[in-house]
Amino acid sequence: MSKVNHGELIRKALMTGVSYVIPFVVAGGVLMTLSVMIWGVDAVKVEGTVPYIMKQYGASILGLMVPIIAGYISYSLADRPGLAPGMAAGLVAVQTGGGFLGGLVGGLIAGYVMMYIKKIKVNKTFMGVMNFLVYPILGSLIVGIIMLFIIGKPIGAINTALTNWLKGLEGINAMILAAIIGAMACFDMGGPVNKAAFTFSLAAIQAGIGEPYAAFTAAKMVPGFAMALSALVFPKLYTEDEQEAAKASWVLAAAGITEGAIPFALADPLTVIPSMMVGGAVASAITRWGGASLLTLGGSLFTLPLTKNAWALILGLVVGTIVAALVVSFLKGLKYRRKNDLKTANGGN
Amino acid sequence: MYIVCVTSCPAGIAHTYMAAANLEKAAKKMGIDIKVEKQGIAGIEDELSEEEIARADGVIIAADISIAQKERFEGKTIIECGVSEAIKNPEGVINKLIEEVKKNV
Repeated sequence: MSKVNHGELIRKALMTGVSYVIPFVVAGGVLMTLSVMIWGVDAVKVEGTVPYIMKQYGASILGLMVPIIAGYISYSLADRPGLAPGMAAGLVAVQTGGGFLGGLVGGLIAGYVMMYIKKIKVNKTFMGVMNFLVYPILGSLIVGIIMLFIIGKPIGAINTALTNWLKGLEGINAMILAAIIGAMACFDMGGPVNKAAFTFSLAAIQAGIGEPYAAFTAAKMVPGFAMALSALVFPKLYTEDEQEAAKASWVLAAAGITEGAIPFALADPLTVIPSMMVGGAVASAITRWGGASLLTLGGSLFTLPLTKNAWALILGLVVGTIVAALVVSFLKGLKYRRKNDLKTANGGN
Repeated sequence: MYIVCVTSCPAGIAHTYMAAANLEKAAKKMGIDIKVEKQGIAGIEDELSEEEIARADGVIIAADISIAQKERFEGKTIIECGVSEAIKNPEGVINKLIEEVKKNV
């Protein structure tokens, strides 16, 4: 095998973790938020009642988030033997206050430890023993020692500091952070940069902070709506294929799927992507300004009832969409005119 | 020429399927037999059979995450790329595999 690219390996591992954790956060977040919505903030605090039990149920599913993400990061690096030590590392991260960050680091450590343990060569006869006994025990032991006694506490401190910083962000600083998240969400529409902003919002959800994800949600719906709007108002700027795609893109956008706008971005990236990033940044900044907060994944028009201060998200989405549509129509209009000028000029020859 | 592919992206909703569709389209245009397995949020779809993998001249893995059951392709000529590369430039990805296959013959 050729030389291993560790950067690529780690990136893939983090994305694998995120990929497997999504359903847990959707289920836990929605169930938790729903119980508060149905029975009210006070009712879910009375121990032993159905509202209390249901809210706790959602919260426990959400609590699996860190062990699961750590487990699958490790799984990505070391295959099946990585899963148990990885989840163990995630568990320690929860106990030591390391939160999401602790889960990411713990998962990577577990994965690398297992990758090296797997390199120990043994006689084929003992391979079964290795797989069944040595890998899980030795792996969990080593990972546990590292997490419990060496890096658990420092990561817990860093995580607390980050969480407090995020909670303390107010006014213009909070809006700038939101705008960055929004611009990233629209940069590659579901690609790695978008997923980096998503992972950040996910970490915030884990710490009980829903503002970043609300901002992300507003932005990720902008491209689909904005391209549909622009194609509707200025059809001559778009090919027939694109007009067809525009009909689907707003439906996908309403469901929170940014990818519907990809055909436009592929066809004319230098025009479309910057326009969408501007619109996304505006949408996120407004959403954050109004204090919208969303603690469950699957953000879209359908999660508006679960969103605190949903009006801000709607306002952000509308303004962001209009801004993005205006910018992209203007830029495309310039291009269109230049092309036509060229044609007339050539025709005159 | 017969190639098999696996596509997979983190959310498993859209990129996975767009990459699959574009690879299939490109292969058809190039006159190459292809089967694409999708590993999305619903799990494995259009799973490659042992026989198909054995028959394949090469394997394309277009994924931003670690795919499930990669060990099935052990000993095969494999090229790996990101999902977006397969969406934007499927012919390029297929050509790269063809070159690799020729090298290994």
